[in-house]
Amino acid sequence: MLDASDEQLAKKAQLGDKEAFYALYNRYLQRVYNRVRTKVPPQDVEDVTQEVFIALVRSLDGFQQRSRFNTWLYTIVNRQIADFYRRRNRGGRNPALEMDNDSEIEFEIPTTADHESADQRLVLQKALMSLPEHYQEIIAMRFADGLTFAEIAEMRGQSLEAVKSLYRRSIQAMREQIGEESSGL
Amino acid sequence: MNDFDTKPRDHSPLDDELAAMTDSLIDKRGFQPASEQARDLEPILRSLHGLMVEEKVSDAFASRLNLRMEQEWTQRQRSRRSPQRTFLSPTARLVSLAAALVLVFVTILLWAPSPASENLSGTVVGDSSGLIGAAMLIGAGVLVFVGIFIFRGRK
Repeated sequence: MLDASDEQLAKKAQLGDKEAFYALYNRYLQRVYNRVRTKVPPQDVEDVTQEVFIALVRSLDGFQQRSRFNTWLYTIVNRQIADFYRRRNRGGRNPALEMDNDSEIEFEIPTTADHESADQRLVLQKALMSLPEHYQEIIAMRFADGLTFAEIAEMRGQSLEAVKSLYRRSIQAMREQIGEESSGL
Repeated sequence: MNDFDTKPRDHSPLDDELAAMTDSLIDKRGFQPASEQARDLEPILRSLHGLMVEEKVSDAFASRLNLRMEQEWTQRQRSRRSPQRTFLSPTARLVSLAAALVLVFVTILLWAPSPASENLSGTVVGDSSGLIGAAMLIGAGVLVFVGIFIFRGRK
C-alpha cells in the first residue's frame, strides 16, 4: 500500500477501501497542515485542516483522475481557506484582530514581541495570498511540502531551470508585495 | 511565453543562487549570498521559512482528527449503500426506466382493441378481469424487481 501512487490509492478509496484512504490521509496530513498554516491564523489551523479532510471524504467520488491527486487536494485546501475567510468576513471579524483576542482567551498576556511577530506573520500571509496562484504554489511546494526543486520540476512537467526561474520571480513578487503590505499597515 | 512554459524565460545566475540559498535554509546549513540581488532577497527567504517552517501536527489534534475521519468514513460508506443512492446510479435509473416503459407498453397492448375486431360489432360476453389481472401481475413483477434491487443495495 505504501508503494502505491496517490491516484491508485484514491481509486481504491473511491471503491470503499478504508486502508487506501488512510494511507492517503497519513501521506497528506502534515503537508495539508503546513499549507493551511501559511495562510490561516495559528489558532484556526487545526479547524481548517479538519474541514479540508472532511471535504476530501465527502467529495472523494468527484476525483476523476484527470489531474494528479495532490493538485485536486490542494484545490480543496485553497477552497477551504477561501471559505474560512469568507465566513470570517461575513461575521465581521478581522482575522488580524482575532490573533490578539485569542491570546486573551488563553489568559496569556501578549508581549510586544508577540504583537510584532503576529503583525509580521499577518503581513507575510497577506502578501503571500495576494500573489498569483502559480507563484503561491511554487513557494508552498518548496517550503510547506518540502519538495526539492528537481521534484517540483518533475511534478510540474517543467525543466529545472524553468522552475528555478519561476521561483525567483515569485520571491521578487513577494518582496514587492511585502513592501506594499508594510506601507499599508 | 508565460510562467508555465517549460523553457525558462530569463534564466539568470540569480535563479540558481536563490534556489541554493533556499536549499541551505531548509536544510539548516549556513550560506552567504554572493550577489547584491541575492542579499536583497535573503530577508524574504528567511521570513518565508519562518512562516512555513514545519510544525508537527500535535498528537492531540491527530487523535481528534482520526476520530472525526472514522465518523466521516462510516457515514460515507453508509450513504453509498442507501437505497436513494442506489437509484442515483445510471444503471439503476436505466433499469427503472426500462421497467416502467415495459409496463406502460404492455398495459397499452392489453387494453387497446385488436385491429381484427375493429369492423366487428356486437357484444362481448364475459368480463375483463383477465386483462386487469395481467396488468396487475406485470405491475407486481416490477415492484418485486425494484424491491430486490433495494434489498441488494442495503446488504
